[in-house]
Amino acid sequence: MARHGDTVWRVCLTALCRHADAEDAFQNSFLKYALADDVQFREEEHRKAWLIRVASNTCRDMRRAAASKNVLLDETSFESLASRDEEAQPDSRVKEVLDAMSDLDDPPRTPVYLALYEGYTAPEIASMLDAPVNTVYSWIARGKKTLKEALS
Amino acid sequence: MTDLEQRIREAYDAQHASDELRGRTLVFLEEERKRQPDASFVEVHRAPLRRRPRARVVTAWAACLLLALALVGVYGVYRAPSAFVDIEVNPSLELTVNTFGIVIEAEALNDDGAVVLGAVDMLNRPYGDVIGALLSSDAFGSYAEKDAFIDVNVVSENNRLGESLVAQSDEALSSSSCEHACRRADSATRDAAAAAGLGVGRYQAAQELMSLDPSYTLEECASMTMRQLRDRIDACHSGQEGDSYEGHGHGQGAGKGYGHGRHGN
Repeated sequence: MARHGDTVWRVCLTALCRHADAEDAFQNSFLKYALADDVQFREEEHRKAWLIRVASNTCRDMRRAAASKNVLLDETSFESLASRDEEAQPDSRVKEVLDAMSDLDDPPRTPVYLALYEGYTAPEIASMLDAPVNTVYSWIARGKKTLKEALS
Repeated sequence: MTDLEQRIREAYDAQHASDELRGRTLVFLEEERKRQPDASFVEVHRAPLRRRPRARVVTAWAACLLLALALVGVYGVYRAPSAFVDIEVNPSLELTVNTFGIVIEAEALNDDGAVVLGAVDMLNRPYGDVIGALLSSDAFGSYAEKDAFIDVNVVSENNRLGESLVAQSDEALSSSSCEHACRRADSATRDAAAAAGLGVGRYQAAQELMSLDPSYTLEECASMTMRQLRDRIDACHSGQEGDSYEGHGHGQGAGKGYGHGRHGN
């Protein structure tokens, strides 16, 4: 958790936007990690990728569960998050980016985050999200275009 | 790095899992650990790269090890000789049979035996099949003609296997036109025969012939077919019988006669 806590948190936050939902996803992701005693990690990067995949799946499952119960997860904006730490986010630039991200559908929101912030390639993201590589390419391209327009 | 990437980086660099969230997560995991006492939990706050071998992994390795040992054990039993079958005509063969009645080794004890060995596939087949294949092969069948004598000796500490091999040999040879004898022999005889470079049947016949007529040597006996050995033994016996009925002097004469005969052969 010390090494990859922030990464898992960012994935959960990107996928669910809402702070409380992201916290639940964060805890459930580490619960899955704690129970996955049969997974052997070759290196730290492997562990990180595994955690991202688990966090992403956890968020997806939470969204599906909420949809099946007709409960809407609040994905309207990162506003509450952006305003939590005023010193760390002194200007509106951060809020502007997070809002633009939250306006994206997911996908392409999580693939865009993984590509632009975590630096993963489309094939790596495709592997993490169990999606076709070409689809991931188009998600990233579409997301970047929308973000550029929103932030211009 | 593009401007977009730069801005994304700035925005997400500002997002951290708070210490409070981390603490609550550890408490949550501890509660789950208590709630699921049978589950195997990893220490998430330490996140070691190399985890301790856990029960499932250890069990899997133990199962693999046991399986490997069992396979090695079965293979060891399969490869362990349980009986030796000596087949003498003029080809002289010794077949090594395992406890399952499978031929695991075949050795030629003379040149004719080597020819047969090269012509018939005998390894890893049940003994009954092998003796059948031998008799039906051209290489062996040419020796097993009507006037031939086939001597089969089975050496085994395993009585059941020994008797079974004798019975299988007898059954297979009964269908051939030649005379045959199938019996058990002891390992001391086999050792003595091996020391003389002969098969058990030939060694026993040679010993019998030399005891009846000391003018024969082991080398001469080794070069004879089993039929020749049996004929000479029978002749010696009939000569001795003649001695007992007809008086002394005849035995020597008969011996000479057989001597010429064997050279002629």
